Amino acid sequence: MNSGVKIGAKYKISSFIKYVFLIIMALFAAVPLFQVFINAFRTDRECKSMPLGLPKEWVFNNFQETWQIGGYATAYFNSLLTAFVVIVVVLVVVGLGAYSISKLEFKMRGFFTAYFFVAISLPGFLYIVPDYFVMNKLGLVDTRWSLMIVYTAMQIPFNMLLLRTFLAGIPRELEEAAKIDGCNELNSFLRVTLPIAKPMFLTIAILVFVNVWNEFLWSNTFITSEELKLVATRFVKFTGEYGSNMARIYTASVITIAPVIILYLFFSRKFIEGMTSGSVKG
Amino acid sequence: MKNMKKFLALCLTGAMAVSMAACGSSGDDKAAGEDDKQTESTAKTDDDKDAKDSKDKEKLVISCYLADDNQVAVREKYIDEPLKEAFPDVDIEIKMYSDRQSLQVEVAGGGGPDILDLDGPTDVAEFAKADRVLDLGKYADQYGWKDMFYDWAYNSCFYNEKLYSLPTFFEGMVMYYNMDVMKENGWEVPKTQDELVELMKKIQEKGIIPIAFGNSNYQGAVDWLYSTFTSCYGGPKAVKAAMEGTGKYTDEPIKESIQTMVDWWQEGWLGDKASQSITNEDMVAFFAEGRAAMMIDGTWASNQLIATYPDCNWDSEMMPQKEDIGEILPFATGGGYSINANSKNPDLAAEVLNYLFTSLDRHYQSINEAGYQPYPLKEFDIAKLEGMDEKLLDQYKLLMDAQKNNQIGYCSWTFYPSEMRVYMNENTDALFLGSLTVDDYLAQAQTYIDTAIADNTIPVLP
Amino acid sequence: MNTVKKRHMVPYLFILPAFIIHACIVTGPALSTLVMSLFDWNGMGNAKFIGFKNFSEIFKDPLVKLSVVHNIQWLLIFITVPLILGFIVAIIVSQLRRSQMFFRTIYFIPYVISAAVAGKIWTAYMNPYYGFNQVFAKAGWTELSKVLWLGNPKIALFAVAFVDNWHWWGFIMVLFLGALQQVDPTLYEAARVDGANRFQELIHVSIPGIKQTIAFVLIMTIMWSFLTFDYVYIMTNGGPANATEIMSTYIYKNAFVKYRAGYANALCVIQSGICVILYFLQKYISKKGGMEDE
Repeated sequence: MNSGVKIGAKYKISSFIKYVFLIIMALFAAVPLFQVFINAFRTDRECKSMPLGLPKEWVFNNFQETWQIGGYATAYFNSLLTAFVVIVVVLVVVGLGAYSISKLEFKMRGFFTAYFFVAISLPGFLYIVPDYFVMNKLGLVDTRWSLMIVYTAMQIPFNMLLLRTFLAGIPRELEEAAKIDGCNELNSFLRVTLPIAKPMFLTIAILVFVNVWNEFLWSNTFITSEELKLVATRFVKFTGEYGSNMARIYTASVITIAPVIILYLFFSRKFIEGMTSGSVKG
Repeated sequence: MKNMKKFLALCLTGAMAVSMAACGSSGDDKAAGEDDKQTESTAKTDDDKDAKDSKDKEKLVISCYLADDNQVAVREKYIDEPLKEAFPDVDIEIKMYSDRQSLQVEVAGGGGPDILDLDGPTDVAEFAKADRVLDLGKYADQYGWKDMFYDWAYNSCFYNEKLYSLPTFFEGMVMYYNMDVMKENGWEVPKTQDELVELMKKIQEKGIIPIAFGNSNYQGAVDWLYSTFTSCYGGPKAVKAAMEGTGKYTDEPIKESIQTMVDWWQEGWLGDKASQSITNEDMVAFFAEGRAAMMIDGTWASNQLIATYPDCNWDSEMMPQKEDIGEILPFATGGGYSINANSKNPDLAAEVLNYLFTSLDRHYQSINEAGYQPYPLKEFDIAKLEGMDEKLLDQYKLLMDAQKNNQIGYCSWTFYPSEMRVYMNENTDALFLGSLTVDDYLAQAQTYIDTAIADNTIPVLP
Repeated sequence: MNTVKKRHMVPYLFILPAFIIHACIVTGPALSTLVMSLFDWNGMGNAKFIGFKNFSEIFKDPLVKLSVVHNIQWLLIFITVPLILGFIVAIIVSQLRRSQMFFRTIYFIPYVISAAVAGKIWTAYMNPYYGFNQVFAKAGWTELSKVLWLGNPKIALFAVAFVDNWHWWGFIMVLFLGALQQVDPTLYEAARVDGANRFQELIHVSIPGIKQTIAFVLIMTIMWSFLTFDYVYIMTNGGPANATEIMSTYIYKNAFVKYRAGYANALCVIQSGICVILYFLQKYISKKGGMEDE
């Protein structure tokens, strides 16, 4: 009886400490972002002389002006379209590839695994010039295709390896069972592995989306037409070395990152659902 | 489940198509890469590559630096609009570049804007070395550019005895004073270096930063400082002698001036010993808000001060003089317009350039109403600017007078060899922090002068 | 075609689309540029063949040595702090029910923000005149309030690493969390039946259950420590006085500031070389240690 109470108290204390720790970490993660949000409501001068803290007076027209100047409506569409296409293609090729190098036995498996690891170490500036040169020749520069192709290629190695690690955790027996039932490789992938791995695919979709959304060097280089520009390129308009309006930069940041966060929140709900419903046992 | 499968099948075909396309591109990818290398060695002009554009209006792209929306609005009024009026048949676009990487990639990849707004002669030299910008000699003859510009500005645009750019705005380094802070404490604007030193001691006692400086977001901003110190306290003669090979950059006057700069930094007079922790924006904010009393900055900063801190009561003068040298104003051209060797229509680009430098009414208006820096044109008449903002007008007068009285100093981005400037921009912080000695620093800088003299690529100093 | 042969082809058919896309867009062009490491080239044209001179210069360049040292320091930080933090938090969060989504979302959000935005905010926090230091000064910690987080060459690298960690550990946490939730729940039940306590469960079930993810995160961390760029570039750009110079910022400087693209490419060869060596080293060690991730 007595000991039960003690354990209860101990449990309470430890869970209290746990929560305090978690909340401190949450503040650590969230406060800087909150500051970005706050600064979007301050005047330029205030942002420059005192970037941290609450606004003396709240300014609300930053958003409207920034939205108009930035031309964000079409940029949103372009970014979403590009991200969507890249996500779909990456999921398909990476899904198949990762399944192959994590689940199937073949001679070149080690080579391909090593290839994608090494591929990560190639910095973008090594291939940006030749890619630009070729796409310029092919007339792809200043089209949506250029970025879709390039982003897809850039997103492959890391996500391939990540998915491979995920997939390797799924017991092989399940797929073997499916195969005994008369499924071919593609079928067992689609019927058995994919449903279990759904949350992982979602994770990868989010990662790809974030990267495509935030990337600006390539999009700034490859796209020149106003109507094709992406959100990040718009954002770059607001970040400068000097002589720039800081309040607008913060406002633009909020406009730029808000959809990513909203989308993430939306997906993470699905993500959790996927987690609980599609567990290994299921 | 079934839906999923269909969807996947669809995606798969899509992916295949994309990978095919990608494959196709890679076939000539390598070939093209080699192609690239071969053509790089010869200057090339792709005249009739893209036939599809000829149906529409001709397109001309001009690069420009990043600016905030106020500046963009002003630019549209004084550059974009007049250009459109002057060239109704041409679709002129002014494209902002946030960093040099995009521009460089585009140019190296065989594309890029027709007219390049580059950092100034040192920068243009690198593009010229690679044959990426055109020799403007032909157009200079055609339009008579030689007689339009001040000689010092025009001559600074030569690399290897060929004209590769036209000087854009001309500017100089001056000392800014926050007059509110000065008056409040009863301080006088110093006339000499000694007076300045005395003043800085007093300012520091008051808990105010004597000279604001910050370069954390753009390390290269140190070139404002060393250009100012070598010119004003080492003397233009010493710098010129070093560049012409009759002296050395390691000579006593230059060494002394750099040492002065380092001493001032270490005293906390120049940037409060924290210049690597604060940004350029901070620096201007500190000055304008009275946290600092003075600031060494270019004449371009006046515009920024008026726009962002309209109630700041500032003044600008030449650096307080050193007795045996006199007042000196370090000069620079703010940049250089070059024509891209990839341009499909270089003749048109030259015509547009010529328009910019000959449409003087537009130019006066842009200075008058928007505080633009003046072009270094002989025809430029300061009398046409009467009635504009007093402080700006004073600054322009300062520039004109310094030029007339031959009080010209040398800014590194216009008058130094490119490699030397890069080295000095990167290592001046090490001087301040004491991890590099002045002797080593200058000796290394001298080696770049030696190379440039040997290659005959040394800039021409007025 | 008989079925055996068909079966044989399947793995290749699966992997080839990804491989081909990547090879065409990234590896091929990258290799064609790597050739330029043998040239004196300013990134735009008129390359001059100079053989291995760039490489011999690398071994004499004190800045390269300094950068590699900084990369190694970076590696030591990143292979410990975010991994341990991410692991502990993942374990705690995985036991939560209702608030799990809240925490995992909050922790992951910094990863979603582009470095350009986050770097700017953190640079402001570390500003000696209006950042944390003002808070420290008010709290009476005068020594702490005088620290130049990004301006002091001795501290700057750690300050930037701190910020990169802020953005990074949540991602690691989510990876661990995802892996933890994949562990077969029956294993826990079995352990509990055997009378294992929480800690034993952790050692005998959780860690073996996610060892592949741990191995993956380890190798990625090791390689990325030599490739990291964003935060250093945005917050200090290698300064002050090269105190935060790392391989990738030095490469960037050579390629786009110093106009020495040939030399930058040679540095890239070295950088990739280091990564390849580390990859195989890791593979060898994990094979020896029985941590084979296949």
